[in-house]
Amino acid sequence: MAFTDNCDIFASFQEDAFNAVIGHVRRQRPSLFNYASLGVIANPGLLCRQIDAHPVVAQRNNPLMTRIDPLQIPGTNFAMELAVQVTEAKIDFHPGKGIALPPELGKLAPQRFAMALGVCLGLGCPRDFPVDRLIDPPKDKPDRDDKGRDPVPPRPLPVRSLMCFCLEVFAVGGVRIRFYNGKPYLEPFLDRIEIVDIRPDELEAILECYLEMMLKLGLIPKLRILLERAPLEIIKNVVSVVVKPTPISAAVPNNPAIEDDQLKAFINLEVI
Amino acid sequence: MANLTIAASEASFVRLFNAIRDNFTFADADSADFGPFTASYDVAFHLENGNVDLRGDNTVKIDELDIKWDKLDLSLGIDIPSICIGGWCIIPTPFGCALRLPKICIFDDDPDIAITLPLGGLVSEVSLTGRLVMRHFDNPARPPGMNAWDAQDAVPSLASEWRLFFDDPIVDIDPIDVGDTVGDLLEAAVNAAVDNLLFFLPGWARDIVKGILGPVIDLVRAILDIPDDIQEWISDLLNVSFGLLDIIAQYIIDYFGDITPLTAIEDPYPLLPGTTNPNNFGPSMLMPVKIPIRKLNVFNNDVEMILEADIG
Repeated sequence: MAFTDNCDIFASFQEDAFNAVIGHVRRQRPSLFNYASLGVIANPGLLCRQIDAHPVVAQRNNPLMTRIDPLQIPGTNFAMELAVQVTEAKIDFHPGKGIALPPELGKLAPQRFAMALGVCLGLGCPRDFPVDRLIDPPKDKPDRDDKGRDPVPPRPLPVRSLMCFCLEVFAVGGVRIRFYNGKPYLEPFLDRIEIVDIRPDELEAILECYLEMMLKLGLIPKLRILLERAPLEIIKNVVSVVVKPTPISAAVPNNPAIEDDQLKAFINLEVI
Repeated sequence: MANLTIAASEASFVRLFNAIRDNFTFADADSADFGPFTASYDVAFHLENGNVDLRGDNTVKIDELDIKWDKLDLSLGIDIPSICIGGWCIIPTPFGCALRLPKICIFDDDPDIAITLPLGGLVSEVSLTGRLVMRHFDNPARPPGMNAWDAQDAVPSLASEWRLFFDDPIVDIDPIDVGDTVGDLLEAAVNAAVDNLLFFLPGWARDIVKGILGPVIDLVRAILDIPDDIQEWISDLLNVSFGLLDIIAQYIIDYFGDITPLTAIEDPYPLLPGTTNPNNFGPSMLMPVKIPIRKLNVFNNDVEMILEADIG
């Protein structure tokens, strides 16, 4: 059977290729995987894990990290430096023999991928700093009416190192084709995420929810690949066609398909 | 197994071929001195149609590819032996001639007449057979040590590419067949050229010259050493004497085999384009993410073309 029996263009990526691509993205666009408050960005040595970036990132003055707000301490105008890092990312397409999923996620379903992530969180706890000095004395006059004044940004507490912990995170998900501005994109999505061995369970659930939102709303949308790009680069000289995903049928039951340790895409060309 | 496999159906490959076929143009001009006459050509053509066949032996054959001659002008410069009339003595005396008729000489130049045969509008056919090959192109203008991002940003781009070509295709071109009306074309052009040359003569002198020349086309045939078949003679002049057939064949080989890739893929390949910097410091745009492509191979069977690559 030919690759293109049911389509005009067929493309398949082995999971090893996909993992190699993820490695290149991590090294060339580290700010997609590393988030930190300004004090950490200014002093990357504070990070839980040092970032292995491509030398061109520095040559082009590209950021290692995406800036996030420090973690404000409730009831104060102070905050603690914060860093969140995705330090490892590996994907395993169905049937999924490369990643041992935790029992909570069960057996990898057909047309799904398993993902193993390393995630480190660091908090700038000023343990060596006499924070008592920062406590304001009691006020001898009542506060003025501050209504209408811009809020003062919280002041990060000084810190010499971050308190870090790293988690093994597992996820299952798939890849779909979605249209944006009339153009088809290959778009990964997550079904479920699981952190192993955190107690109590409620804390685990909170952390899972937080990381799931970070991945779904932050990282994954930035990994969409315009379907017209990679596989169709070979027909870029052909200007009289538009790219359409091959419709689902008995011959092409899944598009894209995740099977045989590969991600497969089936594409039709329509003459315009 | 390769990291990445991309297959294009035969119909997709045909579209790929048609795109570069439609960008093909050929134009050339040359001249040569063949002793009694000079000749030059000024030609231009483009390609149309063609049947593309992916074959099971890992070759591709394209036949019935039409060469549409947009211009096929053949010019001939002919040197006619000088003819002088007049100068005869009308009042002879014992001491010599007292009065002579004026003497007029024509065909003193070389060439005396230049004619152009517009042979355009013809259609020839060409076929080519070859294997597909991916070649890595390193831009020779790229300074040593320039990284892939700076190379991509350069104007014009200095990026490296994988390029898809026909590998040294075998080209078979039908000889240029000028058609059986060329004899009439030549005769009309010669007569017009001679009339134009003699325009300054009075009618009686023109008649004398033409009487001396006899049928002009016969004279021209004799000068050019044209055998009975003018059509074959002109075809040979273009195909063999000028070697136009070989020039065109070599141009087609170079075009499809070396100059114009069926497609080109930048290496490293910019998988994720440059995007806005999420921070309010540093450059406004982040650099693209580029994926190095290694061992890119191409082959075909009778239904599709297949590219296999590894990610570096």
